Amino acid sequence: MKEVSSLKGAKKDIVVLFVIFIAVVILIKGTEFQTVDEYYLTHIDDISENSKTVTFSINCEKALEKSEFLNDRQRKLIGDGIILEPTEYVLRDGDTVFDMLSRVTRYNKIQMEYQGSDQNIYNSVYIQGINYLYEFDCGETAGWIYLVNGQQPENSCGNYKLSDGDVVEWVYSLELGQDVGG
Amino acid sequence: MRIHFRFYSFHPFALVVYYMAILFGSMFIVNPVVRLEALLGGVIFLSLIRKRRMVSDIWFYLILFILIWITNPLFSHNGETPLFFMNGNPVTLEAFKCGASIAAAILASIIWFASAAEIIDDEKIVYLAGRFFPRLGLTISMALRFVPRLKKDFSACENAQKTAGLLTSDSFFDRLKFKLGILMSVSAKSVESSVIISRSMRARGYGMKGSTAYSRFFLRVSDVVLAVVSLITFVAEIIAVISGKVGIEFYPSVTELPVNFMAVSTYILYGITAFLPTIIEATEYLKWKYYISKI
Repeated sequence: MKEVSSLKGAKKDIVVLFVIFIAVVILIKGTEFQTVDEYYLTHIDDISENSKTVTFSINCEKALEKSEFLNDRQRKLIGDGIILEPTEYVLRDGDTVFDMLSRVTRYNKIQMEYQGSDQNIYNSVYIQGINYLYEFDCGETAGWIYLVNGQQPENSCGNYKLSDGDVVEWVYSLELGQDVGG
Repeated sequence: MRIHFRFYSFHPFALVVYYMAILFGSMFIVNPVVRLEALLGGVIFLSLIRKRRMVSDIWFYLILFILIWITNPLFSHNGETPLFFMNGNPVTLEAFKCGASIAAAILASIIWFASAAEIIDDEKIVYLAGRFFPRLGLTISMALRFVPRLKKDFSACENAQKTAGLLTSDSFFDRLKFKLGILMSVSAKSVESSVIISRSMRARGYGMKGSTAYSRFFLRVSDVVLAVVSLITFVAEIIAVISGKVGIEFYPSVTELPVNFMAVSTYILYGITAFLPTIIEATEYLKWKYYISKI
């Protein structure tokens, strides 16, 4: 059946298609793409005499207690449970714990996956997995938490601002943080 | 048309066991070999049933496969080989492989369900459920008939409207609105007819104590053979899933394809089961050609 062509109808289609096009462009513009080389840092700020520093470490020794939950490859990657020995890194002004973690893992080529503050109802950054060890991998109450100077802060790691000389530990907890630190 | 299929004339019980074995394996055994067998067997058998219609459907299935495949790496960032980074989270090769595996499982299930809908028709469903759950049986058979019937009513109504000169706009969205109006009236009609069906069935004494059902199904040797083969595969699948020696893991890196005794026997059993309908139809076709050549 041949229909009488009317520009009015066809225009409508074009408008709708344009709206969809713009939505797609906004979506892509809001997403940042990086190659592997761009993501991993080859250089990190050098420590000088008057620079502020924090001590940073990543540790999942607790996961070894329940290693039967993990697969062979994960067990091999974890090794003795120490992912990053306590090391001093330069603290930039206004750095949060998440900023430091992101920079340190990028520099040391450690895998890390997080949920951004725009992706959950708490508006806070959440670390899902480090070095292929994920939340819930060792039971329902297992996951990554952080300690500053041995204490467990109540803030999200994206909101906690660090100061000079702080000691930050990222640890894998089996009991919602009850089994580690103070 | 489908009445000419040998597979169509199997006993309903045997067919149900067969489809259970096929669908369980394709969904729960995470193994590329099993999923490929399920997908290939399903596609070949469905294209035997649908012939021409399958050619246009294959585009839909391909797009669906790609969509499911692409979605997984966007949300799952685990894996040891990052390809690029999106908002600071990696998009990895392992996530793509896992996505392909999930897409194959979902697609295989859709395709096997499509062939099940053609092979296990409403008469077989009423036979299976009618004795023990008459209400459920009637509901399922009506639900399965719902979509084809709605399509038929829809095209009839649409053609009537077109002849009246109502559907003239060039705009896709105008036509969509128009068709939605037709859909509303057609679904209202189908609701009405379902009430009529249930009343007329009750008037005939369906599901009452002592009422008998007409059926043409007899358990033959071939039915028992099909049921037994399917059951053996089903049991092998359950053992494979529980033992965990057949499945592979994708994160953090893809494990090697298992080639132990249990895995190989699962591949062979599942392969036989998945290609069984195709093999049956092929032998029947050859037999028919052979007999014709003798006349």
